Amino acid sequence: MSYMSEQRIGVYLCECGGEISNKVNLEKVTDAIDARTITLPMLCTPEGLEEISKGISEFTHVVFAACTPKRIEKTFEDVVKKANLNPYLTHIVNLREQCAWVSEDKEKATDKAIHLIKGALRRIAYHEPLEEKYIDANPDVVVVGGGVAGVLAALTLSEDTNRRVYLIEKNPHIGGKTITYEDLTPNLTCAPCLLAPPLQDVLGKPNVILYTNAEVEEVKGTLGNFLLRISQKARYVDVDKCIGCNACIEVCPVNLPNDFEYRMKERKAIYFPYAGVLPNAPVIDWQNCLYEKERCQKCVESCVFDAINFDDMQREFDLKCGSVLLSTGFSTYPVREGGRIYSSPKFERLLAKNGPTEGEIVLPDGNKPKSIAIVHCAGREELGYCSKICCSVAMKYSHMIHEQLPDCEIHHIYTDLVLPEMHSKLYNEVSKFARFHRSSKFDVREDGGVTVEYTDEEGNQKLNVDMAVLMSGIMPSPELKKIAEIFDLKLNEYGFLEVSDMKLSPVETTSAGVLAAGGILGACSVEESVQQAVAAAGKVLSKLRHGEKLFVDPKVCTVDEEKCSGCKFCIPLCPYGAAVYEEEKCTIDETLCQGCGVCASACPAKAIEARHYTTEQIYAEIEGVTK
Amino acid sequence: MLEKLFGQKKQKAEQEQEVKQESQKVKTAFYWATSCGGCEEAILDVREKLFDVLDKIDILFWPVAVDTKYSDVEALEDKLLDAVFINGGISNIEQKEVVKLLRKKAKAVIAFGSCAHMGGIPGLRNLYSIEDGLERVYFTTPSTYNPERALPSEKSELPGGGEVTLPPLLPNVLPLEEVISVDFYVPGCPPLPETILKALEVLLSGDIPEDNVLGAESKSLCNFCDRNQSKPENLSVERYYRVHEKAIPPDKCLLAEGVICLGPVTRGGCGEKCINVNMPCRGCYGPLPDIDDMGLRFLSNIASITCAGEESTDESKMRDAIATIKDPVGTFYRFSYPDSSINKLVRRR
Ligand SMILES: Cc1cc2nc3c(=O)[nH]c(=O)nc-3n(C[C@H](O)[C@H](O)[C@H](O)COP(=O)(O)OP(=O)(O)OC[C@H]3O[C@@H](n4cnc5c(N)ncnc54)[C@H](O)[C@@H]3O)c2cc1C
Ligand code: SF4
Ligand code: SF4
Ligand code: SF4
Repeated sequence: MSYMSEQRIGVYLCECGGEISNKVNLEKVTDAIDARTITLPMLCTPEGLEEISKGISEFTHVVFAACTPKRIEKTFEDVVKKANLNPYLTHIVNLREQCAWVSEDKEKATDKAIHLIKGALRRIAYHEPLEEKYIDANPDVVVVGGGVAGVLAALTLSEDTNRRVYLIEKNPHIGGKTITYEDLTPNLTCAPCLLAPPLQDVLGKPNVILYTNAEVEEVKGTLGNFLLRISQKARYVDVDKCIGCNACIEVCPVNLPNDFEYRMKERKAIYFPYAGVLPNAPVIDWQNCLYEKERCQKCVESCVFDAINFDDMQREFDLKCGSVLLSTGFSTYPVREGGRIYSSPKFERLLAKNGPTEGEIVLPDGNKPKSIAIVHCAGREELGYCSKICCSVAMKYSHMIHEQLPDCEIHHIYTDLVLPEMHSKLYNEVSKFARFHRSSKFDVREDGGVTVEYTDEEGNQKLNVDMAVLMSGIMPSPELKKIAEIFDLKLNEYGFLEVSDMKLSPVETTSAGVLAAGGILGACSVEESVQQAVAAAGKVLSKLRHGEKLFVDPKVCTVDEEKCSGCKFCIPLCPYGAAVYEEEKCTIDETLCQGCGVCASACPAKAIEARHYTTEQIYAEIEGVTK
Repeated sequence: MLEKLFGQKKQKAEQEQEVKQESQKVKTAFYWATSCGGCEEAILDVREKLFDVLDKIDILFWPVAVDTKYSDVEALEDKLLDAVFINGGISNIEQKEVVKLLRKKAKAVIAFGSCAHMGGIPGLRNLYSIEDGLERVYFTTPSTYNPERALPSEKSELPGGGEVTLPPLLPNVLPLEEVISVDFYVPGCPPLPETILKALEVLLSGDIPEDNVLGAESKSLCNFCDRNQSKPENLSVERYYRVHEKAIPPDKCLLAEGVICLGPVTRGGCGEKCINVNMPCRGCYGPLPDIDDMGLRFLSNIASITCAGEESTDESKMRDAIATIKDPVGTFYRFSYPDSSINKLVRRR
């Protein structure tokens, strides 16, 4: 190879202030290898680096025999670049950690050093200069989940008007769980009053683009360069044209129980999930709509704004962004409900002024309850942990019940009371009228009224009440598995999303550029959700600055078109979706490829080459090491 | 003289005149070692086109068709033969000697067909000792009737007096290149008439590919297979089938349906004959240019696609899937076992 004959390979040997030279006989190494060697007391000191930069231009290829590349790769790279040598024409051999520090035997350490350097010399003969590229990082952000966490994050991010924020919400509306509540602990703030302004705000932001009825299906890329595949179900109502006048709802002939109201209320086939929903436009339940079956078009005829469009279709599209913020919330333990037994989320709707009873606490028969049992810790044993926010929410219920029905008897059956700081104030007040029964076991039955059996210090007890509220434990959303899979993220032992470090990076996931906030990370109050959301937004803002360039590592895989037979083996194997099949050939997107080499080893035609880890280089190194 | 056969295209026209003259004809020989005979028939399959070629060549040795003796070959001047075509792997002493003799007399040796190229199907006997192989063939196959337990032996007395000898078997069937140096390869079991003509054309043009494989494509069969379109981009196989176990629609990729098809590692150029009759590729056209061990390569490919779509990394599922592959050596190395790294290693020991 003529290219090889022009090579002048140099080897820099580092004594590492004795750390290496006391164990590895560097003179012997010099004698044993067939290349120019230069031994220096410490390569990484300013003097050492100066020495290197003085002599390095003599060589076409350089081996540094020093310590771990983890520590010095960057330093050497800088010196090499300054000397106008392509950094990929160098190689580091670790004489310290891999020879000196792991051997008592000087002889053997020296022998190993010689073999490793011989391997490097063989390998480096096949190195080729590689070109480093930079691409613009995409400053836009996709926020997945439009609950309080997602909305507050989107608002924070959108303050930078040169940045687009895409908000992807699975429901036809935003606001998540919180917007469905009446009051919020610990200060009994009115939730809709608190939240409606930021929700309105986010809808009005020109640089926030909301997709309702939408979900993420597929993700490629990493920090600065994500490509998301989004699917969006048809809504059949144009949110931009609709003014929320209700005309269509009045004429729709279909009646069904409203699941958003826990079936406590009816709705039409075209409906608002609940009053005051944002965006303020109805949605059509296609399954029950009569358009297809009977060509009913009453709503269309009733709408003066032409907002209803039955040609609307499920669609899929791609979004590009530089960072993703996940805020899809938690879900609640599925407790056994009954006519008079309410889960806590359902009870929230009974308390809500925009709910099915307009906030009146009534039994299904319309009567007001004279006694209510609030049972804490529903699902705690099964979940295996305390959900931390429920006790406070239970105090909220007690307070609200008492305010509306001062004569109603209120019982709390609890295991522990978890009421830190502000929340204990609520308890102090509630304890004046409610009765507390400590018990770790309970059984709730409906038998005309409701019977609650529990065990306290004095033995088995029975309580007959008109109504019971079960404080459902907080659990991971069942969809989180799918999200974790799409984004290649880990879940923790309780099934919530795992962060990269609980203490130091509590809103960063294990994938670069993917952040998380709110209920997706575990049980949390609204203020905690917002704290995390704003923290995550801050992380995005600090990492994805405008004008930021992304380094595209040249150590990636490339396809030789001449050899690729289009067999499609590599396509599903790439963990980063970098290999794509187009026009009967595979191509690899260098900005997505992480150079893992999976495709190269799977290609039946050996058409894929892993740059800087080519078969020749690896074989040469093995040959050199084993000779 | 070699230029006559392998000369530059430019010179071809000029030479055409000369070649016509009897003395200038290309001198060739054909030899048949351990093969089924299909390769010889393949040459006849070229049919009328063969006459054009016969015009230009002189056959000095061809045991199947021409009455010549080894002594005739011995008598030839060294390097007199322009091209010697040898089919079959080498599995006994006689074959070994003859090919060495032919090598001495030849300017160029062409390994013709899968057996000479990679050892071929007879090479699967390398899995057994000579004794076990003979035992199987002469006594225990379901179709054998041999109550006298007759076995061929190296020397046999003839009833009327005198004796005949058989050349002793080698412990292994060897690809031709393990015995003598080979200049060119024409793959196929047997090579198609189109392949043979293309190989000759390439030889005559002198435009020889780097890997010296003549007449076949350098891209895999999948590249030419009409079924490739149906192969999904998320190729994943949860269980494998033998050909008779599953009916596969004529437009579906066999591999994607779970029938092991060596198309992805095998050179195209075979006219997709097997694929077109719903049979998977067994690899007779040999490995793609950069591949040394096609069975090993494909084994690793199979590992990549087996249960690739499974979310879990449950090994037992993969193991169960792999267990549905019957006769792995015969499947992955049908034509190339003697050429495999594992058999080479065993032989070296
Ligand atoms: C009964 C009950 C009462 C509570 N009361 C209080 C209280 O009084 N005070 C208080 O501080 N906290 C309270 N909380 C806690 C509060 O609900 C949470 O802190 C808050 O909802 C967390 O907000 P979030 O945005 O993370 O999640 P969520 O509010 O759950 O919002 C998540 C959003 O993501 C959407 N989504 C889900 N999956 C997807 C997907 N795959 N793709 C796109 N979008 C998706 C959802 O539709 C939803 O809009 C209460 C909780 C419960 C269960
Ligand atoms: S088509 Fe009929 S049923 Fe369907 S939404 Fe319109 S009015 Fe209702
Ligand atoms: S090396 Fe291949 S498999 Fe790995 S990231 Fe790059 S394209 Fe994907
Ligand atoms: S694997 Fe076989 S059937 Fe499938 S495309 Fe390739 S050659 Fe055709």
